[in-house]
Amino acid sequence: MLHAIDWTIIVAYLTITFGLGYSLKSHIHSMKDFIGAGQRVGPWLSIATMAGTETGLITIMYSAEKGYLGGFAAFHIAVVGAAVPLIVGMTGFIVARLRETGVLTIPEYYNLRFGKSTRVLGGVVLVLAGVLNMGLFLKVGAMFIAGMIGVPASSIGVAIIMVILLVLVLGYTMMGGMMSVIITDYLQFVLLSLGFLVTTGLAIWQLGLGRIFSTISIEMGEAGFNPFISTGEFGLSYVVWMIFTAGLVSCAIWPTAVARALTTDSPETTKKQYRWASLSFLVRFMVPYFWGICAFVFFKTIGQGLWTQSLTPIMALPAYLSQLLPIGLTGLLMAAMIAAFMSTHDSYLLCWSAVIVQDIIAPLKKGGLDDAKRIQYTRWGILGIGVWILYWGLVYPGGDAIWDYMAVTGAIYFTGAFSVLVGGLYWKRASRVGANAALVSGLVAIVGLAPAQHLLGVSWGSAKVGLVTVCLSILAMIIGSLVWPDLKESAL
Amino acid sequence: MIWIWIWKIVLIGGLIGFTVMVSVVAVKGWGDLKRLWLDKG
Repeated sequence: MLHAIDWTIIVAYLTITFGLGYSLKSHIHSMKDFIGAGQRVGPWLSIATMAGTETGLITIMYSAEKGYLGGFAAFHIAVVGAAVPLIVGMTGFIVARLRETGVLTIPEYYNLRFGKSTRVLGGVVLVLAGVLNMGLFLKVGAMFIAGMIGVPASSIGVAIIMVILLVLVLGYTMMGGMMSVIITDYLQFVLLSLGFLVTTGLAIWQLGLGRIFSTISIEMGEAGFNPFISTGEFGLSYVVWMIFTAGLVSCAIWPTAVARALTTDSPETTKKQYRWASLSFLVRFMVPYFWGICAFVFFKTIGQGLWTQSLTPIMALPAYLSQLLPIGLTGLLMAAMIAAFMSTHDSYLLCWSAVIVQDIIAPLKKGGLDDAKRIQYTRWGILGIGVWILYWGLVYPGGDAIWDYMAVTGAIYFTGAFSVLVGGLYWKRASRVGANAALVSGLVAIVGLAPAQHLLGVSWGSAKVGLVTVCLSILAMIIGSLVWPDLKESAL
Repeated sequence: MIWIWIWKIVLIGGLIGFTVMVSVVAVKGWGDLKRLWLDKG
């Protein structure tokens, strides 16, 4: 159970965050302010906010699960997760060109390049994938907090924590929009980084690096270190899939990351943002993997007596941290984890809701929508998605590891979007028909989900389904564009 | 095993690099934040 000092730290953090969100309510004048902070965000703040957004509590939980199951071999995901953003930051691949166009969302770019039908179709696919993708965020976040304060993962207590977290994040996101998200993201970045460094130092001090490496070597053998061994948790096709998803997609195709690239004051700032954020992309995966490894080592060695049959890999991390951290530091880490939870939720809620309004409702509504209506609809969209993730978190039967669930649901969008963005930005002959065909092809990725495979009576690895879907969407883009070229030139 | 050394270097190097990065971004980000705050009205 948490000490009063820990609760004080948590309540103080939440009060500051909520107060900031409320204070910014009166400073939202336009849709550009609400969803893009007026495109006035400087380089260093943009790095902090991108790092805060892309390090969610869900990231920490699924990464710890991977570390617990796969050992140090999981580190390959962190390495590609940093190397690719660094290359993107050096070359400007996709993101700098996208920023040059001045758009606020990816479907807005589809509109400029391919026309309204691609914008609306792209918006629908994006929202479908995005909302499904964040479907488990709330539940997993609540499970972490439940584990830390000693509430059983299967109890009604998890549902109550889900409601409390949701109300908090909906409150300040609906009020302050992107201005509020960016300012609170900065606080969350600082707090989260501090929590990362202190907890990691404490884990190394308690277990010792030598014991950590030797226990993994004894328990997992070479598979605990070499990601290419197919008998381990990963293998070659998994590594290739990670280069694409954890590397390129998560930084240059995934809308919430791209939304940060589009709020900067120039394409040069965007490139700088990626070069610096690449380090945080390494750490956002590496530190939770390491924590998962430490949890594994702890329950195999000095904490053997505390291990129980009901301790699943996903719950090993909170169970371990509740043993590791002293009073005060538990409160700090809990506040940091709630920060991680909120900084991801606020951005995701705002991003998907903005796409619904900007890219689906507004283009289809005759006479268009004024800014006041757009802001009002975006706020209602945030509330609607919030209610949906509460429902989905309570009913989804699952069966997939969380990371695989997220990679597959995300793939519904990003396999098609990859072809459309790269084709649109770098291939003059890319056409509207090719873009629409590529977007629809991405829907094949849904076959990677456990319930879908159960329905079809097959058992295919999510990495293989994902890679096949990427190839399908590229083919659809090329064939569609060559057979049905656009009759008139695009606006770009 | 070479992999053990690779991951040791990645772990320690990553933590040191991250500490430096957080310090720089926290200080300079605060300046950007103040500018955005003053500019917001």
